[in-house]
Amino acid sequence: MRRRDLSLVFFTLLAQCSIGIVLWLMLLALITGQRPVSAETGLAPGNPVLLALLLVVLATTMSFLHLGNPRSAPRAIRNLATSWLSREILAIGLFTVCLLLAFLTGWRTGAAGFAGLLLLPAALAGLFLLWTMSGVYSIVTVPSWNSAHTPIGFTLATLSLGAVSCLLLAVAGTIEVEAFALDLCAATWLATLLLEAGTSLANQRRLEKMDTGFRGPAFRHGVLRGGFLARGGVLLLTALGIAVLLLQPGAAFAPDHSGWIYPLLILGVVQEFIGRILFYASYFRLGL
Amino acid sequence: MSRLAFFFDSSACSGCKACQVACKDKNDLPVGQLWRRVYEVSGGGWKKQGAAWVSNVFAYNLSLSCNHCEEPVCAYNCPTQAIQKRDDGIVVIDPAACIGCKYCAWACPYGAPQFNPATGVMGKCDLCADYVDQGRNPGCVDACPMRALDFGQYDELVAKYGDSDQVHPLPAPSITQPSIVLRAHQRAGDAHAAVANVEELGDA
Repeated sequence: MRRRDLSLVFFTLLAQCSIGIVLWLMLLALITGQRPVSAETGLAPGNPVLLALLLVVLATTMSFLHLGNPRSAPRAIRNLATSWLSREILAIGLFTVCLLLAFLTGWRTGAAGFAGLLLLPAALAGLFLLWTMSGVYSIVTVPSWNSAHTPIGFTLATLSLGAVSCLLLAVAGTIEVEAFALDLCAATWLATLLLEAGTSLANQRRLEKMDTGFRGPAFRHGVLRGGFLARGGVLLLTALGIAVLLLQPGAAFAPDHSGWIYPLLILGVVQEFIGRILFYASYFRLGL
Repeated sequence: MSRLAFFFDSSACSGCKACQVACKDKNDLPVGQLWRRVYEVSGGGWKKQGAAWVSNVFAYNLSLSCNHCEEPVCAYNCPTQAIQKRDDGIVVIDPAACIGCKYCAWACPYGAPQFNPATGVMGKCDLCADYVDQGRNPGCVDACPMRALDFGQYDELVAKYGDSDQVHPLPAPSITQPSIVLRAHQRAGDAHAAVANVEELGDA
């Protein structure tokens, strides 16, 4: 992986975390049959809509670091017909506007919560953004990226990072969700992590069998094997921790368990970070 | 429709890199930028035949720049439409429209678009479009002492030289339909060959 790709690691992770928060807020609303209530609104740091908005703005800012000539960036939406990058930029714009509207509405009305209906367009725009992000890497000449592993990996990362953020907000007491819904969120996160472990292993095996041509068989030299093993270890450790917590009597994700929960949430983010670095490091293209 | 193309004779190329230098000189490229590259491909070894050891070592060169593809993946992926195909088939980059996102470099299987950190935008071979507009040959073609490079309409080059389009380690031509006519070295189909000067070519 080249150093300049690091901004893309942060861009994709932050954007997917933002989408994940919105999707999980919608899912929690569906699970509980009521709007998830935020104890904090407006500019309070615990407002989940504000957090999602800040994350996507930060993500967009990080993406600019990747550009050699950011002054011409507004032109980047001109090739919607054939360029996934143009579509991604359109999608991130839509997602940001929807989030901004949801945030401003919640702030203006001063409701103890946020406008659930306004989050629906944001969730749909988020799914559109997730789809376009996968499309950007569906390049016919880059076989390491051009596979089902890319959309699957991005979707799982979105669900995982969204779960981490919502659990963090719930444990910190800034969103009020029923305990069973949080446990269900944690159980889904656990299932997501196990799926990520399985797909990561399958992807590693797929990459190691590839003829990387001009660049030489980097994967067979074991350059990435250590990274995949490290990620797998962190993944399984996180999953084990969640499983232990879920087996505790009473509400697993409650503030009194925060001593265990915070390290798990950090591990959850770390494994996604390693996974995304591995994704960019696995780049090679056909030909020269 | 016009389809300007290069011809390269791999069996005649001595690997002197005069084409590479002529391109660098004509386009005033900085260190690390090569819009035309000479790849040194080699392979083979020693094998035992009866009581004797026989060498089947081989080496050949591939001088490549942008192939001005009929299906240019670089242009399809470019978000700003900075990469355009002219009516004569030349694929050009408009530096004023380029944002330097490097998406074209990810996609091109020939390593043609290259990022210039000094300008912040991508650059690549434009077939010396200014020379072409004056009715002249591209700089690299005239610089070749072996006459291993030629230039003209694709169909005319195919009629003149024939076309061997599968040369290791080039990708399948069906992906981008490159406008290049190749005369392959006799060992150019050997899948065990490898590019020997990767470090010299740098960040391809």
